[in-house]
Amino acid sequence: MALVKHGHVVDNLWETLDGRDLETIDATTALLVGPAELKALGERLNRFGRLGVTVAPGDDVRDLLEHPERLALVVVTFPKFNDGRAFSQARLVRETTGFDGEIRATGHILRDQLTFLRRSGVDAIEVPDEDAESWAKAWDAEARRFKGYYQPAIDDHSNRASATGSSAIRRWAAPATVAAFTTGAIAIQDASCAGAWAY
Amino acid sequence: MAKSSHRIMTANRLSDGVVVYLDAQERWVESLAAADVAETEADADSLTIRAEHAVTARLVVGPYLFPVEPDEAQAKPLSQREHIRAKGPTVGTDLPVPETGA
Amino acid sequence: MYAYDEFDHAFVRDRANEFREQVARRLAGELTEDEFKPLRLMNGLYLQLHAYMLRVAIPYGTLSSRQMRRLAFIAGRWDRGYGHFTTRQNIQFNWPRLVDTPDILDSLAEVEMHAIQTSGNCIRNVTADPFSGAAADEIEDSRVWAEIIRQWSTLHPEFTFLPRKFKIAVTGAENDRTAVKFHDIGLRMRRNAEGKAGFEVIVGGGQGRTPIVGSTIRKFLPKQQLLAYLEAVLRTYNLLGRRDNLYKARIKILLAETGVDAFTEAVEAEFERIRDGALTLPEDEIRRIEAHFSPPFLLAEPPDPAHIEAKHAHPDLAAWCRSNIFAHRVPGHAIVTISLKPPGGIPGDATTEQMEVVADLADRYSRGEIRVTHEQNLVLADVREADLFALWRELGRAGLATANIGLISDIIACPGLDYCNLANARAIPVAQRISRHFSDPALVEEIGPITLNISGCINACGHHHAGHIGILGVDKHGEEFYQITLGGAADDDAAVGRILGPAVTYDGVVEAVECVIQTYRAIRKGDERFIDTVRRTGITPFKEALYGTR
Repeated sequence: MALVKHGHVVDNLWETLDGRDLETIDATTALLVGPAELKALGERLNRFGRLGVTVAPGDDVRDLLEHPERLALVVVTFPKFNDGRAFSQARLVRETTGFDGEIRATGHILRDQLTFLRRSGVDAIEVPDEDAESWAKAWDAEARRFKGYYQPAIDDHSNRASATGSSAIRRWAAPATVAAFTTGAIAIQDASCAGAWAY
Repeated sequence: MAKSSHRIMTANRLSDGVVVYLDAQERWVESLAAADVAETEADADSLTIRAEHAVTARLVVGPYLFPVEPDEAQAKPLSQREHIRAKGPTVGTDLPVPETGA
Repeated sequence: MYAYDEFDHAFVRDRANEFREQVARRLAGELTEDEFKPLRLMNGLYLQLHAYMLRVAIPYGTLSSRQMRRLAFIAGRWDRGYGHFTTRQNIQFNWPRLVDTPDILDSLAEVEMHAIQTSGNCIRNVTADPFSGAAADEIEDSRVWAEIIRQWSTLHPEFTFLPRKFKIAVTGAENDRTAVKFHDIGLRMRRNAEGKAGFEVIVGGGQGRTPIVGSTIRKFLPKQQLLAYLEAVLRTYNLLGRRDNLYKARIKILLAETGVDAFTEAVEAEFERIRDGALTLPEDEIRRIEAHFSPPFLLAEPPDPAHIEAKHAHPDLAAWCRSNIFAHRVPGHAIVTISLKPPGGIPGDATTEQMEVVADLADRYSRGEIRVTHEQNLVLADVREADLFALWRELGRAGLATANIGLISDIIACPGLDYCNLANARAIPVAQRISRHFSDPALVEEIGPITLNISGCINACGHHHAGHIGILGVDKHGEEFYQITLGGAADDDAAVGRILGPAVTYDGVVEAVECVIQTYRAIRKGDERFIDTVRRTGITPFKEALYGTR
């Protein structure tokens, strides 16, 4: 499977255990395990420089990520695209666990969900190899689709003000997209809002 | 409700949602009277395969078989639901569009 | 009412463009129906029995005359010359073609309208008091908050694929006219001991298969914290609501299975985490929205002698004033409800011509604004008493002057098996028969205030559980039967109706309702309303009258 991260096709270097004995795996391997394995293998995983965990939609991410500093990757799953628990999981991982690495979505997703994924804190998606380029294009296209959003979310580097006065809830999309917008609305970068949501 | 082994394949046309029936010439027609009637299980399977092709070809959406009364000159649906789909709403001020219209 | 600025305009156009692309992808085969279905539902497009059905949002039921004219135009241009106003204050068109819907959405966007989130497993149209801004019993205009919630919930990235649909209602008046206790979240404006306005938060009400009155999980929530609290409820629901069974996926089930206390604890914990964050409503934002809903300046007027005279001269006008007028906070004014329930008519339907008449009358008599009620009628909220006679005459010419608001022929009915894919039985012809049967105005008035709701299936879009008389259509061996319930109520004393007995046939419904009404008239005390009698006597006398002698 290919990875599309922030709109770019990148190599997928991650491996799963795949029934192998843990001790036979080189420490430089980027290793992706499930929650049960994370708990069961515990300290034996410490030697791996890059460690990731895949969570199921029903998992409590706050329970799982007791030691977020040890993890470089969290994978949230969509068994079917309309199971929207992963959006909240991604959000909670970003906002409550102190986790600082990549959040990836896997499973059945539609390009129409890319904006929601991005705004829930997802950095990357796992897609079939043959579709990687079109997904990368779609990621960018969807990021440019809306000139503004009606609620705060994870990916916002955007300003607070609307053209008619301050409005902390809705916001214009990131400046790169506002450039295309021609009504002359002024984008005001308000540094004080950066602390308003955790990143 | 009476049972029947006679069935007709119906769907909604993708582009406009109109109720259509599969006839013997691979056409999706708006008239129930012109629909192909499957009398055996094999006939029904054949209708199903043809309907699936139509879905892939983006002609129709949501096809399914429904039972009709056998031994009639014109097929009559057994269920109230199919009767209303064929004739249009029964509410009086809302008349079904004639077959050749819209 | 809320007027779009360039932010809102840009958004609704971007959304319409997105849908245009989605339709194109569907027609080109890039999306299967399975993938397209939730996408079209998020734009209110259903596939029903005969055709597609488009549900257009009328946020909290308020629209301008310009918008009403555009709906009339859409009905004429892309549909069959009529629309249907719904039990959630929206409008439905029954016959659009898929290929035309992008153009319809563009046309709506031009007048600041859309079909965003009127279906799908997301937050739906937030409903509010149709008498907002005009009723004397109002604490604050509920539409301000409905608009704030509408914006926050629009394409919320986290809450677009919930376990199931999510319905929110807001009331700002002493008397609840929005059935807050029957919603996933109901918000009642309240004043605390210091006189500050805030919300009582009621969660887990609903109808459908498992009708239940909601539970209060928060007695008082300060206004600025509304969105943070809602987000906490939605996040809890999104994570914990059932995904394994479509019929057990609403928040009311989560509440029942977890227990109100445990659920509240989880919500309050999340709320504590986010309460002082980015969702705190700043004063200026509240004021920005409030400014769109400032009450109109209306001159108080003394009772108009010409109007009193007209009522003497025209008993029909007097009757219409008794049933269709609600007291306005400004003397000399009236809140007028336009009945879309003529005897034998389709409840909630209006033709292109009728919509245009209402738009004109709104311009001339009510500052160009119209409301839609969840009982499927229309409201002109700020009419001068002196104009009532002229208004009534013009309404009469368009078939819109039936004097039956809140009376037995003001029937609420879902589209039923005549239109809806989910239905088991027809609802509209039943409503037509009943209203034809009870068409004598004197009798209708004498029966007094009563609600009668009809649903064509257990999904209860006709809200039959909340009707004083509820009728549920069922399918028994391929035939239509109707189960009758009594004692439901959607007001402050919300209750779910109780089943009277075995279902009656399609041909037996009118007789059954007649029997119930006659029983009421025989046993009522003084000027008891129907619901008062039922509450006093229980359903036994009605049960015996209907079934006992058989």
